[in-house]
Amino acid sequence: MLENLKNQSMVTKILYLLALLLFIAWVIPTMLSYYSNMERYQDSKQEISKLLSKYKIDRETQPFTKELFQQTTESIFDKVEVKRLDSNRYHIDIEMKREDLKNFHNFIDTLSLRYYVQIDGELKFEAKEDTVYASFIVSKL
Amino acid sequence: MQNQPYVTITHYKEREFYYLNHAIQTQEGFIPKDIEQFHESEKEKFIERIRQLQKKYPKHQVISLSLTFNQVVKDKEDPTKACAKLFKENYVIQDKIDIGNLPVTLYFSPFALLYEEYKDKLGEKKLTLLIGLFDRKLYIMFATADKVHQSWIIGTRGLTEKQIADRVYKSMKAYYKISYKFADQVEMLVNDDSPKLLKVLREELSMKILPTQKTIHYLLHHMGSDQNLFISSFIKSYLAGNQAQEASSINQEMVALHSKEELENVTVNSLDDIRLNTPVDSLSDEHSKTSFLKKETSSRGGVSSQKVPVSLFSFIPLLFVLLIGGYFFMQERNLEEQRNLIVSQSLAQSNNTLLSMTSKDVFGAMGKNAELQSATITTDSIKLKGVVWGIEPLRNSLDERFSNGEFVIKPLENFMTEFSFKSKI
Repeated sequence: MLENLKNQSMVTKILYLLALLLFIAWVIPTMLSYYSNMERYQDSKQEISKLLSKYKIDRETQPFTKELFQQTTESIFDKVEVKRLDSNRYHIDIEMKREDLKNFHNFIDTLSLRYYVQIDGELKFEAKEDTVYASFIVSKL
Repeated sequence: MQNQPYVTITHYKEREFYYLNHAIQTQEGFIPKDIEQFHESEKEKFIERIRQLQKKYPKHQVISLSLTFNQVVKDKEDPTKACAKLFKENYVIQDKIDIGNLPVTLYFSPFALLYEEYKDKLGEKKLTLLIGLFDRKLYIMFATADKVHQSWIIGTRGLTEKQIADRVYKSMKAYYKISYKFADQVEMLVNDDSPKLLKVLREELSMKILPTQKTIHYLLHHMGSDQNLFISSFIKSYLAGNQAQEASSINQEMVALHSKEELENVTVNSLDDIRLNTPVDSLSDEHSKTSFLKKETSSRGGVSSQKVPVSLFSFIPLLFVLLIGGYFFMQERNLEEQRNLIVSQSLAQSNNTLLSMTSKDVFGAMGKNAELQSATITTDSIKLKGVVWGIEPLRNSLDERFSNGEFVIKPLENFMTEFSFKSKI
């Protein structure tokens, strides 16, 4: 084997050396990083699975779309308005009865488990007699 | 007929010209006539001129020189190829006699001329390096008195004198590697004056070289001067045996050896000895430019004879590494994206839970003591505003949930009291 290598041309030897260097300096670190990230990814995913199970959500988290969000949220609250601010952000207005606040809090609690979104900044409330108006901005993850 | 002189007609081709000469052979030696030159486009005229000389001198030999790369000195005859005896045990062998339709009765190898020139100088134990420069090719052989030990041909076309000398030196080194012998003496036969080459050769080989300068015509006339001299050493084709046999009779005119087509199917010898030239195409001088080192490597181990496959094969490890690296690099990027999404989701979930809990606390703190009109809740602060009925219970309730807050009350005109509350979380 070593004798064969000795008999190879200089170009071949350089190519072999380059392959070895690339393997040591690039392939091995990339492989180690991949397996390390895979472990952490699995851990994070397990955490999310536990939360889904805790809140009894039986479907996977879905990408946020205005139509889907409006359709599912309107079945819970009196009125829902979704305005697109830019490609990634939406302004949401929800109108509900005071007694639906509990549902609203539960809704906020599980929002990021149902859709890949996060609430940007603040939750605003206005209350008039028996009706509560909530507004907030979400951005896609 | 007795008074007819014996004439040797010599010709050879160099580059695009045919050179023709004839000489009257006498007891005291030969008397050469003027050299005639014909361009290759005048081939018919050239042949006609030979025919004229043949008619004019019925006792003649038409002698030519094989200047192809395609010849080597071996220990045994090869009945499938064109051979000429050299020494007791050696034969010059070339694949075929390729002289087209030119009239030729005797056809010699430069190796035969070299041997003839120096045979008297060869010693039993003294290894002599014989170099003949013919038509920009060096015909080289290591010889002792009894045999040729090694022979090869080096093309010099396009090379500087230094490069030629370097090749000769490397050839000697290569020969030393296989035989552990250096030449004791170097003899050089040149047909033209090449003082610069000689000077460089002397420097490169660090040996004294006294060249013998003779023209090809002179050497051929000499070879044809005596039947005993040429009878065994001219190249005979076994496939054209009848024609070759005719050449042994001086008084018979030989016809040209037209056996080109017949010989084309002859199997090319493997030439797997340690020759330093590889005679693939006798007509191609370009071949001589092939790197000497490549030839040397090939001759020693044959390892690099599969040069192209080996070169392609050498890319495989690199390709393999690039593929594996590329695969894991792409996978890692995808995984990183997915992992970032999950991490962001976890973070967003935590924030949402915090907002939800704060909101619950805010509405819970109101109880029956106040009515919330507006609230702004973030993960690190709250701002509330509303109407209060029970100031102290509300203050206590808020302080209980959000310590160090700023609770402000303001009486309204309608006898009601407005409150506002700010706090960090």
